[in-house]
Amino acid sequence: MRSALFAAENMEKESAQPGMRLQNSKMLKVELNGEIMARTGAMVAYQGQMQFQALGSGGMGKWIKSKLTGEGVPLMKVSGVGDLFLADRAADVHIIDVEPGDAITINGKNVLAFDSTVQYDIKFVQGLGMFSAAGMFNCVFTGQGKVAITTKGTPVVLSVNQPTYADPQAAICWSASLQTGYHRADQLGLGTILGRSTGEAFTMSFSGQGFVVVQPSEEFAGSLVSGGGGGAQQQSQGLLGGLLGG
Amino acid sequence: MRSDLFKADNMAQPPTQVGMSLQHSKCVKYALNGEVLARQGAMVAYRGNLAFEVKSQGVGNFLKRAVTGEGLPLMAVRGQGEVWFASGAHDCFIMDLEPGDALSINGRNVVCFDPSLSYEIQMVRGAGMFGGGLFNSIFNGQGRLAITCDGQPIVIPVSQQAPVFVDTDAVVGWSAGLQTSIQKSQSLKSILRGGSGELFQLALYGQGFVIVQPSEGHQVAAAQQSSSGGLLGSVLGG
Repeated sequence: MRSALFAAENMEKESAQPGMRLQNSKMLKVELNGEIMARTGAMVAYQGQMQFQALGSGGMGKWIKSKLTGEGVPLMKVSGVGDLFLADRAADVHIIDVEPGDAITINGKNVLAFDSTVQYDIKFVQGLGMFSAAGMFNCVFTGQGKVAITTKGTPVVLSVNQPTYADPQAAICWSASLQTGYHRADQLGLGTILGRSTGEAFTMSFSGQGFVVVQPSEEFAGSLVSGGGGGAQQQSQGLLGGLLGG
Repeated sequence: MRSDLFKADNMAQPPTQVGMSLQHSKCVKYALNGEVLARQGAMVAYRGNLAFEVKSQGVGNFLKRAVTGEGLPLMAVRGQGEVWFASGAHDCFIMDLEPGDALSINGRNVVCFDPSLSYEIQMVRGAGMFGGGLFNSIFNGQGRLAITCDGQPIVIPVSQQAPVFVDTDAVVGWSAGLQTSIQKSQSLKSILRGGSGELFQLALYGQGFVIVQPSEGHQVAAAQQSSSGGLLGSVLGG
């Protein structure tokens, strides 16, 4: 059989070194020898001996937080030896190397996988209040290792050296040292009260020194595949429903 | 922290000149000193001192929008700074319009445009009530217009000898000099058997070009979501 489908760039990329690498721009390949944390449901294929163990949100404290906030990453621990392929609805995958002392805030919906040497916690996003559709809680990653994130489309990285603003649904991750706030760019007038809005009513502001990664899409990415983790449906259940439903 | 994410292609550079440019294939950057008009909700990030306002479009266009449900909900962005526009991670293209050019574009595919361009909502001639709300925005004047295509577009030249037929859900726009009509290409027999899924096409005659996207998807949903703040949210948020 012959087809352009079997072109070299589509064939599995072999490497002797364990760890995460990009199979292509939309798929993550993990040469596993030990364990890794991945978003539940993100596995598309694997070869070798592997166990998949659902972790929920990773601990009792995080479970309660994630139920209350609708944020967090529904996780599974994959352990064993072999090749693991992860993807999320053909979104672009990027690997971030986190070094000791680094801290990065990532929207829970955009986390695909991370090394078990990286710690994460759910933190309140300052200044955003109840209004953000993207969730007012985010995941902060620290430690040493690799984190794989997904973005819908090619992202833009803005270095923050002057006040920078982003749509809360488009901001994917930022350096955790940045001060975040909430900013109204919309002009308040008679029109606004009549329901005419520019659609930019709530923007997130960033100040300090660091970077912000923005995706060119304002959709909720990734919440379908995981069946949880901070999509719009999750949040609409409300506090009690979330706890009971857990 | 190190990552491929921080490669030069993705990094935003300080602006070199005022106006519209492509940040990359999915995102338009506008270095602003004055005003730009954009589809509501298309902003993904900005820096500088900018204000966003609903653009009033005159009674005529307002009525057309209210009646047809089509057209282009606009906002005006004013001030000094840089702003990034994107829509559903679709491919972005910048069109340079010169005096005398006129372009008919589906409202859902417009991202932003220079205020020096004028635009009007028109019913696509010959389309009637079928064809899924065929009202387009006609742009003319001098300036730049950014549009999106869901996937890599196809540009088909139209000549007197060779009219072109397009799916009304996939068509992005065409040179406004073309004549349009609706073509029914299916026989009754075929419709009775369940239909081929291609009931009506838009036929384009004359001299010019037509832009078609390789998707018949409905991309309006994303833009509407973000404007659902509504009265209460806006008032409380103030």
